[in-house]
Amino acid sequence: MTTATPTNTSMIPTSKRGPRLRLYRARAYRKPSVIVPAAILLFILLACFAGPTLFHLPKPSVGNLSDYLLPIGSPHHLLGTNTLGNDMLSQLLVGGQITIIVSVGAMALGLVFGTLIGMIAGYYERIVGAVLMRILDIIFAFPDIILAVAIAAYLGPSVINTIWAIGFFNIAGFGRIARAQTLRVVRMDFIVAGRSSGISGFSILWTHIWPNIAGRVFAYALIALSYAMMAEASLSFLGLGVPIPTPSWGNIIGSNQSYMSLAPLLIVMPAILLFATIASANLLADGLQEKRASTIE
Amino acid sequence: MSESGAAMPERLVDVENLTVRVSGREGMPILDSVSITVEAGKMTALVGESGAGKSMTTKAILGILDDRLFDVSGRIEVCGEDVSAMKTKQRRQYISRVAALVFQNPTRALNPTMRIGPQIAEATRFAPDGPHLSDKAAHDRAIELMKQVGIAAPEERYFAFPHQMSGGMKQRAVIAIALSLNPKVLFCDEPTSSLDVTTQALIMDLLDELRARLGLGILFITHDLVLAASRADTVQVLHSGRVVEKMPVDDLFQRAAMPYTRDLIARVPGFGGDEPRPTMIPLEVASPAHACSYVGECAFRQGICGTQVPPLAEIEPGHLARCWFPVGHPPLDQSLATAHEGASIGR
Amino acid sequence: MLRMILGRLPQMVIVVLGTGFLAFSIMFVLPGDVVRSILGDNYTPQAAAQISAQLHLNQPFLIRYFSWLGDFVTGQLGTSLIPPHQQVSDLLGQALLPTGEMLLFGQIIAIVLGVGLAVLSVASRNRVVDRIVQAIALVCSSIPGFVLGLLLLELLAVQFQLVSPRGWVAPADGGWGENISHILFPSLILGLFTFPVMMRVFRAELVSQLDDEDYVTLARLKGISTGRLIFRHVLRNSSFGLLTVVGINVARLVGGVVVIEAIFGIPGMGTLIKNSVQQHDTPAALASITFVAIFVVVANLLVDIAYAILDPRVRDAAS
Ligand SMILES: Nc1ncnc2c1ncn2[C@@H]1O[C@H](COP(=O)(O)OP(=O)(O)OP(=O)(O)O)[C@@H](O)[C@H]1O
Ligand code: SF4
Ligand SMILES: [Mg+2]
Repeated sequence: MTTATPTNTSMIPTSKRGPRLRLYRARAYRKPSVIVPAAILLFILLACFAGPTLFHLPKPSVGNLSDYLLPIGSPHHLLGTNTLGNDMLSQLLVGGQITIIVSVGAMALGLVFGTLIGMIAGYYERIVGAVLMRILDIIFAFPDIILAVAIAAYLGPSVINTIWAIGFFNIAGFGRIARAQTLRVVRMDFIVAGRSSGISGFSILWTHIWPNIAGRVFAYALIALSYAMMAEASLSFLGLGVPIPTPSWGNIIGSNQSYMSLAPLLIVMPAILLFATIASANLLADGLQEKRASTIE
Repeated sequence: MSESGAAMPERLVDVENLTVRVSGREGMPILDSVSITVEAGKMTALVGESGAGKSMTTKAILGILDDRLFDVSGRIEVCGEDVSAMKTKQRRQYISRVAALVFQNPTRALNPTMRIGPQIAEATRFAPDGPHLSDKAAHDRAIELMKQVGIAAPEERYFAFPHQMSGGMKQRAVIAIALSLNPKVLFCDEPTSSLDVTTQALIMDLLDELRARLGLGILFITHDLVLAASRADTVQVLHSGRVVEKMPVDDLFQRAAMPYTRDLIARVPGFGGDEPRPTMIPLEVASPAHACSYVGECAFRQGICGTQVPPLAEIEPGHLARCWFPVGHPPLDQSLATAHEGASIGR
Repeated sequence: MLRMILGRLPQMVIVVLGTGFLAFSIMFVLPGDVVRSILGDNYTPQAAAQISAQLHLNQPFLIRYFSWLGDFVTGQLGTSLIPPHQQVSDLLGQALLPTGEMLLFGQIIAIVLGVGLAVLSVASRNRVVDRIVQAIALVCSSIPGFVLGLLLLELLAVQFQLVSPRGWVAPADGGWGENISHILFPSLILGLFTFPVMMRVFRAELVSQLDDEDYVTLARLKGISTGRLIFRHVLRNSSFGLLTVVGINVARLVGGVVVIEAIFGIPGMGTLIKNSVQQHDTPAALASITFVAIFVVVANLLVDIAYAILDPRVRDAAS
C-alpha cells in the first residue's frame, strides 16, 4: 500500500506529453516551498523507520519501573523515560512508524476506492452516478467515529483495524474530488469523441480521464494524509485506535494525559512530532498547488 | 500633435509615449510608445486585433493596472492634468471625477448581488469626490440617470438585480453608473461586442447622443472597422502594442496606407481585397524589437522592415502611418530604404 | 424557495434512511451476546428467551430492520438496554443540548475567525500581516483538536485558571451563565481547529474577486473606498465558497465533538454514541446515529437556503 502512491505518480505525465514537459515540471518543483516541507517529511520518515535500528534503541515497551520518569539527557535514554520507564526516543520513533503506516494505509484505501467510485460516478452521470453519489453522501453523513468505536469494541483495537476504520471515511472525500474532476474532464472534446466512437468506458477512464485528474487527486491525497494522521491520533487517544503497548503518537499522548502537570514533555514531544508532520504535509500540498498554478501560466 | 487650424478643440486625453512592460521581463513591451488623443465632443476609435493592447491602453490611462505587475512610463494627461505624476489615491479620485469606463461585458461589470439602483446611486453618495448626496437625493439622481440612458420603467428597475435584466439594459445601467459623477471623457472598451446587432446599434446611438448633448469625449475600442467608421471622428490602429496608423475617419476605407490596416479592411465583407499585391519576399528578422511589428505577414515588406522600426510619420495632413512603404504613397525615406535593400534579405 | 426545499427532500430522506440502515447493519453484525450482557448475573435460559423475543432477536435481519424503522418513524425510540434503562428519547434530549451548543458556538467562532482574518490579511495589503495570518491558520490546522484542547486546558484552566475547568453544567442546575461559561472553552477549541479551512477558502475567494472582477474595477474607478468595497460588495460575493465548506465541515465536526467531549467530560451526543455502541445498546446507538445524520442533512439544507438568500440568481432559479 505504501508504495502504490509513488509508482502511480510517475505514470501521470507520460501519455501524450513529451519528456521535455516532465523536465520542466521537475524544475518547477525545485523551490523552497516544496523542498523544505518535503525534506522535513523525509527526515521524519527516515528517523522513524531507520532510527531505532541505527541507534540501537531499546524496544519501546521493555522499560523498567525503576527507570521511572528519567529526565531528558539521561544516559542510555536521550529523551528520558515515561512513567513505566520506557525509553521515550524509542517510543516516539516507533510510535511514528505506526502513525505513519496507519495514516498512509488509510489514505491509500480512500484513494483507491474513493477515486474509483468517484470516477465511475462522474463518468456514468445518470443512474449509476446518482446511486454512487448517494452512497458517498451516506458515508459522509455517518459520524466517522462510530465504525471506529464498533470495530474497537468488538474486533478489538489493532493497527489493521484502525486502518480500515479511518480509510473507510476517506472514501467519501476522494470520491467527491474524483467525481467533480471527472465531470470536468468528461465534457472535453476528446473524451466526447472517444465515447461516441465506442471505446469501452473503463478504457477511457483509465487512459484518458485518470491522467487528467490524477494531479488534483494526488494534491488532495496530501490533505487526506494529514486528516488521517489526525484521525489516527484522535482514535488512539480515545483508546479506540492503536492499542497499548504498541506506541503511536496518538496513544502516547492519550496514555500520558493524566501526567500533564507532572511531566508535560511526555505529551509535548509527540505533539510536536505530530504537528511537524501534519504541517509539512499541508505546506507541501500548498507548495505543489502553487506550482500547478504557475505551470499553467 | 498633427492637428492644425484655428480653433483647437479641448483635448481631454493627451497621451504621449505610453510604454507598459511586465515588471522584470525583458524584450518587447506590451505597449510601445503609444500616443493617443481624445477631444471634447469627439470620438476616437482605437482598433486592432485581439491582444494588440487596446484594453491595456485604457487601463494604463485610468491607472488601474497593478503596479506590482507592470511598469508604466510616458506622459498621460487627462483633462489638462498630468495624472502620471499623481499619487495613487489622488489619481483615483481625480480620475473618478473626470473619466469613466464602460466595460465590454456588462454582466461582469455589475455586482450580481446588489440591486441596480443602489449601484447607480453609490458613487453619488459615497465617492470621496462626489456630491455626497443624501439617500433620497441619490435615489432621485439614479432614476434621472436611468431615464437619461433610456432604461424604461426606472422606478421598478431600480430594485431589479442585474440577472433580471437583458444585456442591453445592463449595458445601459453600466453607462448610467459611468455618467453618475458627470465625467468629461468616457472610455468604452468594446461596449457592444457582447450584444446582438440591434442592441448594439441602440447603445451606439445612446453614446452618440450623450456625446452630442453632454460634450463628452469618447475613446471607443472595437474590433469592428465598420462600426468605427460609422461613428468615430478619428481612427487609431494599434498593432502589437504600437500605434501603426492614425487618420480622420473618412480616410479609413478610402486611403488607409499601412498594409496591416489594409489587410484588416480587406477582411471586412463587402470590401473584398482583390487589389493586386506584391508577392512576399523571404525575410529573416533578427530582433522583433528592431523591426516593423507587421513584418511577419506583410506583403509589401522590404529588407529595412526587418531591421528598423518605421517612425509614425505624417504622410498627409492629419494622417499618420508607421510604415516604410505606405501604400499609395512614396516610400518613407527612400535613401534609407534603398541603402538597406538586400542587406538583410534572407535566403 | 419552498420548491427548492421540497426538491431536496427525497435526497435527504434517502441519506437519513441509508445512514440508519448502515448503523443497523453494523450493530447487527457486531459479535457479542447482547442478552447475556443485559441480564448479567440474572442469566437464566428462560429469561434469555424472553428477552430475545422482546427484542425480536430471533427474527431475520430485514424484518428486524423494518420493525425498528417503523418504531423510529412513529417516534418510538425505545428504552436503553443498559441499566438504568432510561427512555432513549430522554437520553437524546439530555445529550443534544451540550453538543448543539458546542457546534453552534464553535461554528460561529470559526466563521468569525475565518472571515475576520481573511479580510484582515487581504485588506491590510501588508505582507507581514498576511504571513502571520497564514501561519496562525497553518498552526491551527496542523494540531489535532484533542492536542490543542489538552494543551490549552492545561495552560488556561490549570496553570492560569483563566477559564472554567472541565465538565458540563446544565442550565437547570447552574443557570445559563454558568452553562455557557463551561461550554465556551470547548467550543473555542472546536472553532480553532475548524476555522483554517474557512479562512483559506474565503481568502482565496476574496483575492480572486478583488483581482479579476470588473465590478470591483468599476467601483474603484468611482473612487469607492476599499473598506466599503470589501464590506458592501466583495464580502457577500465571496461567501459562497465559505458556505460550501461550512456544509462539508458539519459532518467532520461531529467526529471532533466526540474527542472534545471526552477531554472536557461533557455528556453530549458524541459520548452517547460512543458509549452506546461500545455497550451494544442498540436502541440508543441507532437513534443517536440517525439523529446525527438528520442533523448533517438539515445543516446542509440550511447552507443551501443561505446560498439562496445571499445570491439572488440562485433565489430566482429556485422559484
Ligand atoms: N498579466 C499579464 N502578463 C503578461 N502579459 C499580459 C498580461 N495582461 C495582458 N498581457 C498582454 O498584453 C497584451 C495586450 O492585452 P489587451 O488586453 O490590452 O489586448 P486587447 O487589445 O484589449 O485585446 P482584446 O481585443 O482581446 O480585448 C496581450 O498581448 C497580453 O498578452
Ligand atoms: S514597414 Fe514594411 S513590413 Fe511594416 S507594414 Fe510597412 S511595408 Fe510592411
Ligand atoms: Mg480588450
